[in-house]
Amino acid sequence: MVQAAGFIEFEITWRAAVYEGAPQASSAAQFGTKGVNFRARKA
Amino acid sequence: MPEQEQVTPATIDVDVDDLRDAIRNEYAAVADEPTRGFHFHTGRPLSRIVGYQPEWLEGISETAVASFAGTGNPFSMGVLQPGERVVDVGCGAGIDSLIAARMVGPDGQVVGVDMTAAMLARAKRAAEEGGAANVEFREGYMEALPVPDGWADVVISNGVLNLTPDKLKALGEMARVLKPTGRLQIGDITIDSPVPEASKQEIDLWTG
Repeated sequence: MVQAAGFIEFEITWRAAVYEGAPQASSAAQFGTKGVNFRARKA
Repeated sequence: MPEQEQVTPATIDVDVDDLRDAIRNEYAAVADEPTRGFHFHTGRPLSRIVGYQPEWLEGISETAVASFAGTGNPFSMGVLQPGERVVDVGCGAGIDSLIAARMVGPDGQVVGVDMTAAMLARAKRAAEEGGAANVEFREGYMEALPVPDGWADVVISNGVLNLTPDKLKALGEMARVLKPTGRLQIGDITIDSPVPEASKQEIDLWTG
């Protein structure tokens, strides 16, 4: 989808369990939600 | 499955107005009561989790830092260069916009866009408190950015793209405001387990 929007060189650079230990329970664990960094360049 | 498809699921059939109202309420609470405790980490502790360098926060008003609610680190993929123009999509209380403003310096410009009035008010106050003259905050949606075509060298965003059911539209807007070869540096979320179709229409799942 990133490419469909007009970007190239898409790359995920980082993943982490950023919701772990948050003050309130969330649906994040249910779906294995993780924080992610990604970059791309406009074609 | 290619990784980009995991990060950006398909357009989802959900009532956009109801969703936006719920998101505004959630993030207005983060703006007004940042230490209340949410289903995500906030503030300075979150900045450490996602790897912000302490020097990036030096001189940034606590008004912006306390209400930080991102999910990643747009600056980890490359610092911004002096003189660059930056759009911060879903700027919240302005922490990333203000970090960007410092990186691009007085010859650069930053536009932060957010749909939540309480967050924008906090971002504007933080800019004043920090004396940031090269940053402007505008009300708007990620699906219709109030920025001219080809204006930006870099688009950053942090924990926002996951909040729209039309991710292709939002990404298309990011592409529109970028110059050719402009950079996209995004923090967001991904999931390991598919969300059932019926659950995608549950507003509570989007905000919590």
